[in-house]
Amino acid sequence: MTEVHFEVRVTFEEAQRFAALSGDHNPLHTDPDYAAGTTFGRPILHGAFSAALFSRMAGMHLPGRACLLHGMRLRFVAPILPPTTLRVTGTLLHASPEAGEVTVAIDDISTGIRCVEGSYRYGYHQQRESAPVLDAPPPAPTRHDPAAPVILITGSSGGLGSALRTLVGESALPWSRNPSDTDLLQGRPVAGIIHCGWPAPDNQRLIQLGSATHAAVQHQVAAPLEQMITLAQTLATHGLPGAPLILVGSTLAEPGWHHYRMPLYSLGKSLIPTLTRILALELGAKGQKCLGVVFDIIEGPGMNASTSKAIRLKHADRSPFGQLITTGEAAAQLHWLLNNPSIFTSGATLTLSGGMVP
Amino acid sequence: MQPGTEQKLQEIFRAVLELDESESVASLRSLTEPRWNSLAHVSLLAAIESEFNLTLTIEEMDRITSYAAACLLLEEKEP
Repeated sequence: MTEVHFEVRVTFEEAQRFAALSGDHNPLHTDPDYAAGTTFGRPILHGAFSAALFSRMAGMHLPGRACLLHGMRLRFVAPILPPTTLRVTGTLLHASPEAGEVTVAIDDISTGIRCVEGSYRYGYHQQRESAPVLDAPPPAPTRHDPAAPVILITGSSGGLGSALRTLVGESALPWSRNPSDTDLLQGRPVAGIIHCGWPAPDNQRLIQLGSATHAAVQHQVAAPLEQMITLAQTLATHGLPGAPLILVGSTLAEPGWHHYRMPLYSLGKSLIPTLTRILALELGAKGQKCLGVVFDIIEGPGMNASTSKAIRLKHADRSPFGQLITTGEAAAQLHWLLNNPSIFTSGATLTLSGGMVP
Repeated sequence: MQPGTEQKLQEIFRAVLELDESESVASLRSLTEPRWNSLAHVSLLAAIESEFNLTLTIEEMDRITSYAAACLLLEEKEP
């Protein structure tokens, strides 16, 4: 699947320039005093600014130079509050020699919140002097230094992994959670591995699994365990001294927190604390680290996005701060741990729930 | 939420938790409100069932962890 993304920094000054360009000087976008009296508290970005980012995706990337935009649909899911940095992701749904369709998502990197989602349809224009050349999507950015260390991130297409990829930047290397061909490293050393990828919850009771028991246990418990062990082997073989393996867990796996609707998921994730200690011992012999990080429900795009409002509220009500962690904040904490040079975090499983009570 | 429902719900919370007029109901959570003890919780459930002519399931009772959660539950149970 072809996917392209770019980042855009939007400031209040840019919003003012957009107002001048479009003639839309509505005070909700341009007047901080007026906006302070609204539910948003400060000026929000014009919705049409997002439409312009869709246009950029079409004209510069998917399909690029020969594009003729036929139409677009946008849904404004959450307001964009400058100053902030946006990540614009385009995914090619289908394409033929005559036309194609792309879905687009705009996420606020600092909060991890999805602000806009939509799609556009395109065809191609003709150029008089020469035959039209259909631009292929641009190649992925090349690394400046082919020997530069990389950070492997599993689940990098999910909400948390995607936000983390943005924070890590050029050295991020999306990695399959399945046993991977380490030739993909192309000789580059590994400076860390963050394991966010996990099979979706099972929603089946153990006593009702019947003939599916072996396959379900394999999928939800054995395979994730094998994946984590393989990642540790990759780090041991290709990792730099001091490089960490960070395993992302869930409060659902903590004693007394397991969810009766997700028993195998809870069991799979419950491996993390013990495995972290075992791998800390083994990787420690190589000067490398292993640590676990546990989050409760994460607010924003990703696996938790489909959690009902009632469940989210229930979890937020258990927090001393009355709120859930956002995708951006969770990614920032993982990034901080990735860059923490102390060896004394190894073996620990940190529950970053803000003191949430069971 | 139907007109009047939220006002009735606020009156229940004010009465059961003995709140002053100046205290906000909207931000109440059982975790941080010391007056929301086990007895008050049962009183809240009984008053909500009685006032809105409802029978709450065990799961629904467990969901009332804040005023906002009670609002959401009543919204969902509205015909």
